[in-house]
Amino acid sequence: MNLTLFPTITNCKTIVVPIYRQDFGSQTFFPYDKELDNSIVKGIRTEYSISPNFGNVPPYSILADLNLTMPLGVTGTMMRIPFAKFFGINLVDDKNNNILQDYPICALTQVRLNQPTTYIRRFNAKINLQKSFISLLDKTEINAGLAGVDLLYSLFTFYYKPIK
Amino acid sequence: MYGVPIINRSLTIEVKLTSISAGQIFQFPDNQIIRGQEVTVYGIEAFSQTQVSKTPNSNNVVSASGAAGLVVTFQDNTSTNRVYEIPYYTLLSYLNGGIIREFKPFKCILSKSYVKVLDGTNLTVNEAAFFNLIYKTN
Repeated sequence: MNLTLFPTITNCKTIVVPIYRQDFGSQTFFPYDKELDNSIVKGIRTEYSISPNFGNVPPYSILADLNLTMPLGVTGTMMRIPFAKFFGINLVDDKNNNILQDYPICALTQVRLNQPTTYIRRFNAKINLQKSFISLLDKTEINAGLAGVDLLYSLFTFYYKPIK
Repeated sequence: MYGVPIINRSLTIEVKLTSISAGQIFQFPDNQIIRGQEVTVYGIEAFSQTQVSKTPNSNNVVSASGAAGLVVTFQDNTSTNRVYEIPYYTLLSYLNGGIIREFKPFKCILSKSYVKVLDGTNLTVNEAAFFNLIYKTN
């Protein structure tokens, strides 16, 4: 049994999931990633702003570090505490089993206001990213907290081990 | 060291509090994902509004102060109380440094497991207790 709190990192990769306003009421699927598709995922963690201001997402200081360019006329926003609690994450393995099902994404960093921890939710599964998605659980916020947000960038760091 | 289990499978499940009278008991509802299956639970996590505002069925999640008025019981397949009236508050992992409560794996019978209201002062009718069960199938 592995008694450590954290997965041994052989590889990790941060995936950016852009959630567009028109998708707020439905499901936003993860983009396909060839490397992760051929790997055993050991853990996941979200990376988002703990600042009330937009854009400061450790370990990235500014959006430009990610080479993200806002589409013209779109207000891009980083996932942050007031928004994160509206969303859940669904991870499905290659046998269609639910590894996480509508799991609050806040719990992937255990964020209390200004109190992020380094805990990582751990698995040992081959994740099918194309069937995994982010869902908006609190739809009442589309016209409240999420009013005026056209695009929400959510960052997920996957810890994984490539299948040889 | 324990507290961050490797998740084999997990699912969220909500218990709607249709009354907040002290002593009221609410059984866990049927869940289509594990219907007809024996599941072995080894980790239980609960949430408050601080982490997630609504459940997938659009019920408000109990507040942290409301959570203090709830206890939870899980029974196994021999009708033994494996987790008996543990405070819901104890299962909120964000209040426990991020760790998840782990248990010696037991065959959980959700229809015999329940949430009990001890103090409804900070609860509102139709709020939901919201859990994540970490389990494996047999």
